[in-house]
Amino acid sequence: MTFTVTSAQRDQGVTCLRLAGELDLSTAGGLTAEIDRLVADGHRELLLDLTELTFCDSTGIAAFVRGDNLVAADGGWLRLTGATGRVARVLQVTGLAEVLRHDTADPTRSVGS
Amino acid sequence: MAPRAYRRRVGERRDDHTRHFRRSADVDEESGAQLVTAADVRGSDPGDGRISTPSADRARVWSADAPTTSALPPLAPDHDAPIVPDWSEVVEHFREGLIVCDADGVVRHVSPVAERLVPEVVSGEVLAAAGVAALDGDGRFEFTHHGRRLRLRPVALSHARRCWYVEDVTESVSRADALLAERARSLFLAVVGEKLGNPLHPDRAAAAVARLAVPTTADVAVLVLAPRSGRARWWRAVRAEDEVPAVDSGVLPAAALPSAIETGLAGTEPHALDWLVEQAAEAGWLPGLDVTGATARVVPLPGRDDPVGVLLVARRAGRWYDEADLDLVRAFAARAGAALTTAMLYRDQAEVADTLQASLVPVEPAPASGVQWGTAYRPAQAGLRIGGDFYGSHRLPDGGSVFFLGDVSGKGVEAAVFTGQLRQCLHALHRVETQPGRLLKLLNDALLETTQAHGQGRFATMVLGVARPHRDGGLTLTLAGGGHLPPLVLRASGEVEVVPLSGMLIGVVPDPRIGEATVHLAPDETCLLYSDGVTEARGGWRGDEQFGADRLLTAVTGCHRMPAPALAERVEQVTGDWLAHGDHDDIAVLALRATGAAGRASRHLHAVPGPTSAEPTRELPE
Repeated sequence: MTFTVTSAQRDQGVTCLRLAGELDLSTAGGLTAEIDRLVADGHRELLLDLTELTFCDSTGIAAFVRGDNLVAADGGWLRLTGATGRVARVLQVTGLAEVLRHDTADPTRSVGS
Repeated sequence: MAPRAYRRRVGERRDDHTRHFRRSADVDEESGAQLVTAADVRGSDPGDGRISTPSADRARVWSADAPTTSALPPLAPDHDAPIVPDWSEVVEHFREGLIVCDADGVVRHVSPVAERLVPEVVSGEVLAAAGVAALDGDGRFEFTHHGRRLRLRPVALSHARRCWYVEDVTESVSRADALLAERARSLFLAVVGEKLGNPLHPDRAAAAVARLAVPTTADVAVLVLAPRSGRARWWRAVRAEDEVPAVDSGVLPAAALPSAIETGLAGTEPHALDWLVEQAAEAGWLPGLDVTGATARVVPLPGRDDPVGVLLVARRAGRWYDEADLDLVRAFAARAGAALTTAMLYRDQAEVADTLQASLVPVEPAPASGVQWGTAYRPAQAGLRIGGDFYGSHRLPDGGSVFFLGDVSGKGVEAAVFTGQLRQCLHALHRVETQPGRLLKLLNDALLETTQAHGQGRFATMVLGVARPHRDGGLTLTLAGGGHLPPLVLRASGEVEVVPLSGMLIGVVPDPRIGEATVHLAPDETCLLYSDGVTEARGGWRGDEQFGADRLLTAVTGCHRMPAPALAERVEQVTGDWLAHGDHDDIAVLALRATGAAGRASRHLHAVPGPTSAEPTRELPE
């Protein structure tokens, strides 16, 4: 299965990344590289849309955590939204759903702070 | 006056030059003979005529001293040229000497060169009387006469006369020999370089060095490594006829090393060579070698700073080490030293790696009363033996046990190092906190520093619990969840339950929500902890389907009577069977079973013998 990530600028400086396919050891590097690129371009608020993501393993989780650590160091944030099925279950089991939940009311609450 | 003096000076110089060359040629010949025989290339005379042709002055003097010259018969009697050159004079300038016999075998002419080379042959006498066996033959012949190498070429002349051309080929032979010897040395060093090219094991490299030194550089070669902890190891190769040299080895206390070896280890070739053989013999290194007349040399093997060792080479009587030999031994020693240094460096690194690796391999749970442990572990990189999954247990002073199983993000060495840090943390922290939820939070805070410093999304998921024996013979498990897959419980009834345990990753946020649950295991009931390498194993008939939690439930259903080790093995087995190909995540399984009455009985029985077994011994650091 393939994995794709497409990014789009949204209003209020939030960058949205649409993830599709399977996120595992062989594809997580692509996500990490994309996050690194966005951070290097000055993006600090990243919203990851997981609606079309069908699988996510621990390396995917690691990519999320790493990305959040990265932007949080500059006062930004990384949040997840739209997870379903197996992906939602993984986020549930690891407790990451709680940590990186996209909450429109308070998006600035960050993991590392 | 001036030109004459000049000429004489030139003549003297030439004479000096010639003698000098002969002396060095003798040496070359000797060394050449030691290394190779060169019969096949001896015909290749460079032909510059520097050496063998006597100077014109000399030839004239000799011809004056040799009245037999006039007896030279006409060489071409069938041609009647009106004016012929003075053939005898022409012939005297040949590099080849000339001996002519008549049909009766009486010597009729001996040219000055031939006279010098074969002085036994006298004009007017029968050739056979000279007693030079080589002159009896009919064909070309090469022989050594008065220390010179002569080549003989008999030619039949008219009227049954015979002529022998005698050529001194000593120099060309020795030059060819020297060339061949040089080629042999190069070849030897090339072979040495190849054989010692990829040394990974110092002992094997040392044995190879000793073996390669024989027979080219020695009849007996002893390699002595620089002493470690006061002991010097040595390897010895002894020349065996038509066989690969035998290599043996031994150890000497550093204090007992011969002084020449110590000198060599200090980086210099010992100057006093007289006692070398005796010293080596005294050390017991020269068995079966006749010491009288034997020669030995000691050459250091260069290392990184000090020599890595020394090479003692010894030859039996009659074979000296000349400069060319010594150069070869030194060149050999340089290669051997480099190979040994590399091998030792590799060994040191491998030792470090092994030690670190051993410290990262999961340690089997400590035996605890009332608990039967079962474990299975299959790292993603099997060759590495370590991975990102971990498990373990520690005994608590109150008779309980703290146990854990988890998974850190990432794979391979980096992940394994992180599991090591995590286990060390737990090892220390369980002494100050035994409540699983609080222990996990302490661990989280301890790891947070590391994970944030590295910023590579490093974290762990784990289940941590404390098992305490219950009055009924079962176990009470207090469990804390850190974002890991919830454990399963195999009830005595055959039912399989999923423990409702949630929680957050460890090492990501400062104050994670830790899930907690309490489970009671009746005797013969089992709790099963596993990593996501089990449920995420990809295989099935499509090859990429996940094993999944449901299949795991099915696989362990009906296994409730199994001992804990068998259950852990079964889970690993079914996961392994499911895997379509070798590529998989780390797999770890920890099962603990309440042993019930048997456990209580054993506790009572084992409490009796003595204080050592009654008092649970503190476990050693991992």
